Amino acid sequence: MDVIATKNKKALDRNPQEPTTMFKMYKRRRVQRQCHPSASLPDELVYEILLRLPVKTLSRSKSVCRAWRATISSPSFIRAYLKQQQSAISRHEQKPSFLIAPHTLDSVIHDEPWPSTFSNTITFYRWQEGRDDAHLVRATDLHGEFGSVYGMSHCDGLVMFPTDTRLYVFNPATGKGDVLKLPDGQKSRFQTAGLGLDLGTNTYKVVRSFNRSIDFNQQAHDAAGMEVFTISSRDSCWRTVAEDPPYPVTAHPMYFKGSLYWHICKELLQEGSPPPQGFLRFNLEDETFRLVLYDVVSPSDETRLDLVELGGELCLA
Amino acid sequence: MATGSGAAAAAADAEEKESGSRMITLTSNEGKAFVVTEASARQSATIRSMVDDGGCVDKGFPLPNVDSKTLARVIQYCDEHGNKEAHTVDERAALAKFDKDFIAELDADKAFLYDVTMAANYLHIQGLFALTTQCIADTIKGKTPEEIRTAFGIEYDLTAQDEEEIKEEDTHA
Repeated sequence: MDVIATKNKKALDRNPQEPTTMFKMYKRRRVQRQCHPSASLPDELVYEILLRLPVKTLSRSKSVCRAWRATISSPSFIRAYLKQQQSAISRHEQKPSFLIAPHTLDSVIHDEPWPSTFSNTITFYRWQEGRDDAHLVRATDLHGEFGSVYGMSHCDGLVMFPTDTRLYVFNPATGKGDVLKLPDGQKSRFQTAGLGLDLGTNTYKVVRSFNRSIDFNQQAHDAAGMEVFTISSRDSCWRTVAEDPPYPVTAHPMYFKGSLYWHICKELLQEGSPPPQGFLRFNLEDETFRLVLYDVVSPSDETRLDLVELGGELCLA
Repeated sequence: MATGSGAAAAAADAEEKESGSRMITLTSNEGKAFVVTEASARQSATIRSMVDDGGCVDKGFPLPNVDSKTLARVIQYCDEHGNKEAHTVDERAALAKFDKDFIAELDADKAFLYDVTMAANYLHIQGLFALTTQCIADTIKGKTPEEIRTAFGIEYDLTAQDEEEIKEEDTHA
């Protein structure tokens, strides 16, 4: 008798405002515990537990029940998950691991400006700090779909491969699922491509420049435009950005906090206009361009400064 | 707090030394009183902020969400982490050993493990919460969805369409 009285009191204490409901919930939990060999996990803890799972387990856990699936798929959970992973690394609880994607050539053709014989087997290795060797994460054979690979870029573990035929996006962490093959966009060889997260909609976007002029020998800046591909299950085509880039861009952009940063291509600037000391920033949320200027650090025109992210800040190097 | 850096940690340390001798009473929902050192109680961010806000140190803190058995175990953790130094390698190793044994014992009784986790969450004891949630997460690793459902007493409620959608997502992911 005494025990039951204590239990009732406990239930009442848990929520004085709604004693009846709480009591019912409490009873249900006890009953469940008796039915199953193990205790049921309180709902309040599910989110916290899921945050601490490795990606592979997490993706498998979507098939546990509807509530788990809804949690795991929600954008807010995904953000929290990435943040948790990063803070575990910065607190030294978890050693950072590196993704290695080696490029190999099937054969070497001399005097090529850029090799056209890249291996079509894309491999990813993971190496964790302190380990002796890296282990293979996945290998995908694309069977002669492309010849050349250009600069890769990555964002939150997604890796983008621009090639001379099309763009590929891999998610090596999940280790399964096909590679995302982006469809053809504007019918012209693209110049540069970047990948980043639109902080407004929490979707990943691939942005690339294209040239409206067919004659590549007469690359005029005013013929350049940008197009966007949103990585989601609904979207499956390229969309031309309303605003054209105000300056010609070159090389592959750097992603930082919701924006892509491009180098300005000085060679394509019209005669007479002095090249601006800066980068062209493309905001992935509102899809607009802005010039980010910096003070001249080095008097030499020969040095090209690159952007790097160091400890959450954008730096010039 | 287990982590902290720079001036904030130094200030917290100084304050801790100054007021470390005070005793604080925590009362479980069954009305049982537990007297602990302030250093031990400060492991809980909830209690720490109440103490720092000039709260009722003398009157003690009633904890309507925590029962005696759970509170006793939580205090065992706080005593170890609050009252012992963790400056040298040996001291840290001793604490790590304590954590290991502490969690191994809890893991044997899942219902109790969840109660302690809930209490650590409610009291904002960061180290303990990280320890218990990681332990629960570790039991999920390597299990099939079916095994996870059995382990946590979860009912299968996915429709054929849900399963189809998950498969679809996986090929896109």
